[in-house]
Amino acid sequence: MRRYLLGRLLRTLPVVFGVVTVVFLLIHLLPGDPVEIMLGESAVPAQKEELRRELHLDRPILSQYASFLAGIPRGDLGVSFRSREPVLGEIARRIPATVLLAATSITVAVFVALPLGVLAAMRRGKAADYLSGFAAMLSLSIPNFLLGPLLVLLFSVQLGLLPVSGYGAGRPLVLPAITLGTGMAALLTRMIRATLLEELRKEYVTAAIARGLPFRSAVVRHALRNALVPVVTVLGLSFGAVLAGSVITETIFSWPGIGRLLIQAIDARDYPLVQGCVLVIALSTVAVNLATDILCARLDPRIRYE
Amino acid sequence: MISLAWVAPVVAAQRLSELWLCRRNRLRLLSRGGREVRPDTYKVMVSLHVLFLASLSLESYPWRVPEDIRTWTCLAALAVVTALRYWAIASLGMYWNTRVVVVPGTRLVRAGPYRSLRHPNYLVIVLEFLLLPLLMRAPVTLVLFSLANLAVLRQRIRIEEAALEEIVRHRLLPWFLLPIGLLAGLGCAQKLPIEEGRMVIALPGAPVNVDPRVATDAYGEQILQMTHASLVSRDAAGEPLPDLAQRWESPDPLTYRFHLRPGLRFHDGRPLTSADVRYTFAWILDAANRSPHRGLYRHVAAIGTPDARTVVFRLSEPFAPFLSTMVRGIVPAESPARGYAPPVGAGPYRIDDLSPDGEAVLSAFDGYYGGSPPIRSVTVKFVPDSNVRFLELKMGSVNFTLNGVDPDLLPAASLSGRLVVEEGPGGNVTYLGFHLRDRALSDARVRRAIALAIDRETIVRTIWKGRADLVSSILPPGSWAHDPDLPAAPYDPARAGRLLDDAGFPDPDGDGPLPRLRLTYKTSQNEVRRRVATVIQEQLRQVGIAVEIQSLEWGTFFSDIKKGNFQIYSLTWVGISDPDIFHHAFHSRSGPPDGANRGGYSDVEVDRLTESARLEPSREKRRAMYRRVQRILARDLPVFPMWAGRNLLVRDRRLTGFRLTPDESYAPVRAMRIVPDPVAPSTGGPR
Repeated sequence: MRRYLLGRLLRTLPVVFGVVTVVFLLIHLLPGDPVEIMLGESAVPAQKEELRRELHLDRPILSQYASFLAGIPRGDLGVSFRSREPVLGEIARRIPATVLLAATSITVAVFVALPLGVLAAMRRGKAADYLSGFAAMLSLSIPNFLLGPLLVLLFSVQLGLLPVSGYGAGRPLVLPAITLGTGMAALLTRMIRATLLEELRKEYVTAAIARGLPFRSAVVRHALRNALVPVVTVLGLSFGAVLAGSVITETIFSWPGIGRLLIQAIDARDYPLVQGCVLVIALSTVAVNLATDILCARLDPRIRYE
Repeated sequence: MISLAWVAPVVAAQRLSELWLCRRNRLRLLSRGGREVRPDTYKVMVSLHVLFLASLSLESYPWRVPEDIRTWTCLAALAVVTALRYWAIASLGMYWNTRVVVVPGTRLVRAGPYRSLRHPNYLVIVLEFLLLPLLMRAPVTLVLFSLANLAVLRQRIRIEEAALEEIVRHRLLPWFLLPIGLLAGLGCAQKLPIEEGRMVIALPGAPVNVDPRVATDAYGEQILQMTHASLVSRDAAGEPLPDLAQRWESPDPLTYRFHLRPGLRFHDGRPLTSADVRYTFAWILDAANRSPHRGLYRHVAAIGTPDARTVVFRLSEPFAPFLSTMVRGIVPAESPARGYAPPVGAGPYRIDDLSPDGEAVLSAFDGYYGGSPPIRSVTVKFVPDSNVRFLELKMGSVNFTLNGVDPDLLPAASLSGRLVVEEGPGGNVTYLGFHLRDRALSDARVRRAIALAIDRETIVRTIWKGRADLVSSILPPGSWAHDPDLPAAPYDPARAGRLLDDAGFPDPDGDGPLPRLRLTYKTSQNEVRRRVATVIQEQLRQVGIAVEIQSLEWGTFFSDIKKGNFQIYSLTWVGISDPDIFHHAFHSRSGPPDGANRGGYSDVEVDRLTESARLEPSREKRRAMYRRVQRILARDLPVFPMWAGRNLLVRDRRLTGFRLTPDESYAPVRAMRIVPDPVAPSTGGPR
C-alpha cells in the first residue's frame, strides 16, 4: 500500500506540472497588461517601466516561468500584483471558506442522494423511482446562477429565515451549500440507483434472498456496499466540479473563497495569484482523488493496491 | 404598518367555540357508550393553548407589523390552515374532539383530509404554532411553544394511536417539522442592523487596498473617504474646501502653504502634525515604494515643515490643478504599508476590522476634529452580485447603497415601504471614442453624422429608465469649469445621411441592405453597456452604417483601447475632478501609454490652451480657457460625450442626513443619523 501511494504521488507530479504550465502560458497569452491595470491612468512611463522591472515582467517569459517553478518547492508562490501580499497568504486566507463550503455541500449531496438513490433502486419502476428521477433531472438542469437567487428569494426575502449573503459556519452557510450541493446530489442519486440495480442483478443477492434474508437487508448490508465503490470514485472526481461551481456560488453569496479570488486575479491579470490559485486547486483535486482511491480499497476488500 | 390587534381575539373566539363543540360531541359519544382515554392530557393541552395565546399577545404588543410580503404570506397560509381545520372538523362530524374518546364498534373515519393525512388536525395545530408567531413577529413564542407543542402532540398522538389499537409509523410528522420550526425561530430572532443602531453599506466589490498612499480602486477610495482625512476636500463643483488644513495660501504659483487645524489626532490618539503630512507625500514620492500615485505629484520639488502646524509645498513648475491633488488621506509617520492592515487615519470613522472579500467594520472616532459622527457603527459589506445587493436591501440586512441597484430594479425598491430612493446628478460621463486615424472616422463629418444618428433620449429613457442626463462635454455639468452654453447634438438622422453623402459615403442601394460603411464597436461585457451597444448598432443601421459589436472581457477590452486597437469604443470617465483632464485626454502629446488621447486627436489651439491653463493661477482665466477647449471639442467631436448617469441612493428611510454629490463621495456619511421611523411615505420617497 505504502509503495502504491508513493507511486501514485510520483505519477501525479506530471499532471500538476502540466496544469501549471498550461495555465502559465495561457494567462500570459491573454491580452491585458497588469502594470496598466495596476497603475491606472495617471502613471508616468518611467514608473511603469520601474514596476515592470520590479515585478520581473521585463524578463523573458521562460525565465519568469523558471523562477515561478523554482519558488514552488520553497513554498514561495510570489507576491500578488494587486495587493502586494504573498500569494500563499492570500490563498491561505480564503481556503477555510472554500473547504467549508465544498465539504458541506458534498455532505448535503451525500445525505440527500443516498436514501433517494437506494429508494429508487428498491422501488424500480414505481412512483418513488420516477419521482426521484424527475427531481434529479430537474435539479441537474437548473444552473447554479439561477438556483442561488431563487433560494435567496424564497428563504431569505419571502420567509426571512436565512441571510441573503455573507460568510459564517451557521446560517449563512445553508443556502450556498444547498445551491452547490443540489446538482451533485442529483448526479449521485442517479449513479447510486444505477450501480445498485446492477448489483441487485448479481447472484449473491439472489442467493442471500433465497436463504431468507429480508430484501431490505440484502440491499442495505450487501449490495449497497459493493455499489458504493464507483459512486465514491465519481464523488472524488466531482470534487473538481464543486470547486469550479463554487466560483459562481461564491460570487452570488459573497462567499470569500478561492473561486472569487481566482476571478478577481484573472480580471486584474494578477499572474502570480492566478498561478497560485490554479496550483492549489490542482493539488487539492489530485489529493482528493488519491484519498478516494484509498477509501475505495476500504469499502471493497477486493481492491488491493500493490 | 398594519395593526393585527384582531388576531388574538379571533383565535381565542375560535378556540372557545371549539371547546363548546367538543363538550357537546363528548356528551354525545359518552351517551353511545364511548370511553374517555387519559382525560388528564386534555388539561395540559388546554393550558398550552391558553399560554400560547397569552405569550403571543404579550410578545407582539403593540400588534403592529410591516405591510410586507411576509405578513401577507403568513396571513394567506393561516387562511388555508384554518380552512383545513374546519374541513377536518366537518369531516369528523360528531367524532371530532379535543379529548380522546373511543367508541367501541365504530370505524376509523377516512373522509375529507383524513383520506390522505392521518392527523390533519394536528398538522393544523403545528402550522398555526409556526405561522402565528411568524406573523406577529414573536420569535420567543415561536421557539418555546413550537417545541412544547410538539412534545405534547407527540404524547397525544401516542395515546390516540394506542387507543385506536393500531401500530403505524405516522408519528414522524412532528419530527419533520421540528427543524423547520427551529430554522424559523432563528430567522425571527434575527434583529435588523438598523434596529441595533448600525448602518450597513453594500459596495459592489471588495477593495484591493485600503491605504491612501497606494489605493487606486474605487472601493478602496470610498472606504477611505470615511476613514482618512486629507489636507483639503472638494465640494460638489470640484472646488477645494478646508479639511485637515484650516486654510492655505499660495504666495506665488510655485508655493503652497497649508495651516493645519489645532489639536488634530489620529485614530490611535497620536497627534497629527506637519511631519505626518510630509511623511505621507514623501512616501508616495519615494520610488522604492512604487506608489501608483507618484505621477500625480511629479511637480512637487520639496516639502517643508516650518512648524508642527504648517506645511509648505514647493513645486518645480506652476501646476494649477495642484490643490485638487491634495485630496489624499494623511497617515502617521513611519506607518508600514501592509495591504490588509490599513494605516490609521484621522477621518470620522476608524477601521476596526477588514476581512478580504467579506466586510469592513468601522466605528465612530470620537477624536475627529468635526465632532464624532452620530451613527456609531458602520459596516461596509462587499456584495458583488447586483441582484443579491437588491435582495439584501429588501430584507434590511443592508440599508444603504449608492449606485448599487440596477435601474431595472429601482421601481421595486421604491415600492417597498422601508426603502427610499434618492437621485442626484452624476459626474461619470459615458462617451463614444473614435479612432481619428481611421479612414472614415478621420473625417469630422462622419463623426458628426454618427452623433446625429444616435437617439440618446430614447436610450436614456429605455435602458437607463430616465436616470441619466444628456451631456455635451466630458466634464460633468456640476464642475466649475463646465461650459453650460455648449450646443447639444440633436437627433437628426436625415442630416446624418446628408453629412455622410458629403463625406463620400453615399448609400449604395437606398433602402437596400448594403451599408455606406462598416465599423467595429468595442465595449466591455457589462450588461447595460452591451444593451446600449445594441441600440446604437440599430440606430446607426438606420443611416446606413453597419456596426459590428465586439463585447470583450474587461482586461482585453481596456488593453485594446490603450493600444489604439479600435474604430469606435464606448467607455465612461470616472472621477473627473479637475478640468486638467482635457490635457490628459486631448493634448496631441498625451497619446497612450502616457496619456488618454487614444484616438490620436491633434489641435494646435487645444494644445496651447490646455498647456497654459495648467500654469494659470487665476481661476477665472482658467475657466475661460477650458470653455474655449470645450467649444473646440464640441466642434471636432474627437469623442462624443453622451450622458452622465445620475447617482442613485437607496437607503432605509430611517437613515437621514446624507447629501448626494456628483462624485459619489461617501464622506457625507459622517453627518448621517438614524431617526425613529418617520411618517411612512406612501410610495417610495423623494424623487
